[in-house]
Amino acid sequence: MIDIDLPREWLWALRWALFLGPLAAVLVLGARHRHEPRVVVGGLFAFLYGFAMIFATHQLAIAAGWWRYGSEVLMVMGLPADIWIGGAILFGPVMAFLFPTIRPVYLLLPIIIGLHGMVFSSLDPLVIAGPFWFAGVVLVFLVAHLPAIHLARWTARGEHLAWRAALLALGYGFLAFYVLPSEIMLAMGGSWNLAARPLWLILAGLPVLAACFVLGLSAVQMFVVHGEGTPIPLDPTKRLVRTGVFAYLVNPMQLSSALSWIVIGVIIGNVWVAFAAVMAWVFVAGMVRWHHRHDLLQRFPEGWPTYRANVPEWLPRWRPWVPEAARLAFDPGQKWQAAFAGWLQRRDPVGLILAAKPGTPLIYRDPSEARDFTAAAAIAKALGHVNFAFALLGAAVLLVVLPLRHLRGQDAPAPMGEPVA
Amino acid sequence: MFRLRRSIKLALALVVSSGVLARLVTMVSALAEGDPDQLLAFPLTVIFPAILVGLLLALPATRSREGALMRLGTIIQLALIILLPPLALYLALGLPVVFLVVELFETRLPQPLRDPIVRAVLA
Repeated sequence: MIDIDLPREWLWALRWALFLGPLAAVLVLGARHRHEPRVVVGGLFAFLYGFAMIFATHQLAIAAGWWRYGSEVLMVMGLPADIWIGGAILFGPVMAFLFPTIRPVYLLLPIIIGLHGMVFSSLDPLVIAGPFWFAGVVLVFLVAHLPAIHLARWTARGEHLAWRAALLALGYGFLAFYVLPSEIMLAMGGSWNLAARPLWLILAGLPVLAACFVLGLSAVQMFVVHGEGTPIPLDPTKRLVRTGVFAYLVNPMQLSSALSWIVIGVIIGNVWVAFAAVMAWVFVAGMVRWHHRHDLLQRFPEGWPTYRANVPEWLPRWRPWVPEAARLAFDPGQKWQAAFAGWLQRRDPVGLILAAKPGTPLIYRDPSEARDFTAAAAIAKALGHVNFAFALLGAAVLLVVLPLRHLRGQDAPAPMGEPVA
Repeated sequence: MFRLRRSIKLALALVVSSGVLARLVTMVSALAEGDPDQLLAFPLTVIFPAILVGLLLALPATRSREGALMRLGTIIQLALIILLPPLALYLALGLPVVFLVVELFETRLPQPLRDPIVRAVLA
């Protein structure tokens, strides 16, 4: 390990280089890839993911005393904003553009061991290393940098859609509900100090926040499962998604974000964070509607206007809008299946045909969709035909069941090409 | 296709260049007095937004009129970030407002008012 004292002017130059170096590199490399939109979009996603996760992991490192930054310029909760952004550019798009075929772990290992291992403790007062700093560096690379480079690569190649969407959702979650509130509190005052807040308020707020997150995450899942794309228009869906929570409202992700900001603002007692909900509306009014007109209307000239005419933007319908009836096949000989079908029948599900078919497993099939849903996933999908509350419950189930099946390599089967019953 | 008029582009470039120059002078005089803070903040708060402005000015024409107006709004916001350092964080957080203003301009402003303004800035 090298342990030297760098002159103050060298540290200033280093700080400039840590931001301007990656920036210059990404501009040059981005220009080289300008005719490969998926590569550029992958780089952008990697940057956004890294931007969120570097902040989160550095907050953990600072709180644990692994290291701290000595400067007082451009600081956001103890992290210099320029070094933060430079890191997100370097260990995201730059690495992905420079080394498109080398496995990210082989790219990052020499940097962790060679660069950080050698010079990290020589950068005082730019960064002051504490105990266990090396473990902290490894954590930052594992949680922030490694997934960021994978995200760029998978997006460029159009691979691993489920993982891509999961990383985008994770990155967005930290960006929207940790980085943005932190920035707002930096500008307007306030802190994350939950110890000063009433316990009952936190306990009451967390389930509401969880319900908001279910709404948003379910929308992302529906984009992946039914649209075969991500929620980001730069990596769009192949099909118009009108099912699940989208049968109740057009903008579930934006509503989820707006409500989450309000709940977080109430929990931490900061009106300005709650006020960020207005930004969600501003975003919809300014950007999303534009996207709807210039992308969705062009790509789905028949489906989009009909969907939009029947489904509200913000306030969810209580009962879903279902353009084509789905079918739930159940075995009347199986007690629990018959009981569930009876329960559903009593609730008069919208656009759901219940078909008794002896000997069949429980299968849900939507004629406009690319796949069938079985067992717990079929129950969850069927709940989406009852009302908004049950749809949220079904969405929560799907958020657990489908990723587990994906991890086990047991994705729902493709349609068999014939009616279920 | 829609693009910013050359005169508008030149005016924007002039404003941003003046802002960069003013910030450079301020930074040098602060440094001469022994305060390195502005030097350290310069890349992120001046060079970065100036590069973004350059990129936005160099982009090819847009397919929609709103796209070109959103680009113009973003450039103005970035210019303000350079010119008004005490408000830079607020302006950055308020960037989505640019898109709302453009949307309201396109959908709510009466056509007799809107069209002359658009003709003045877009080619």
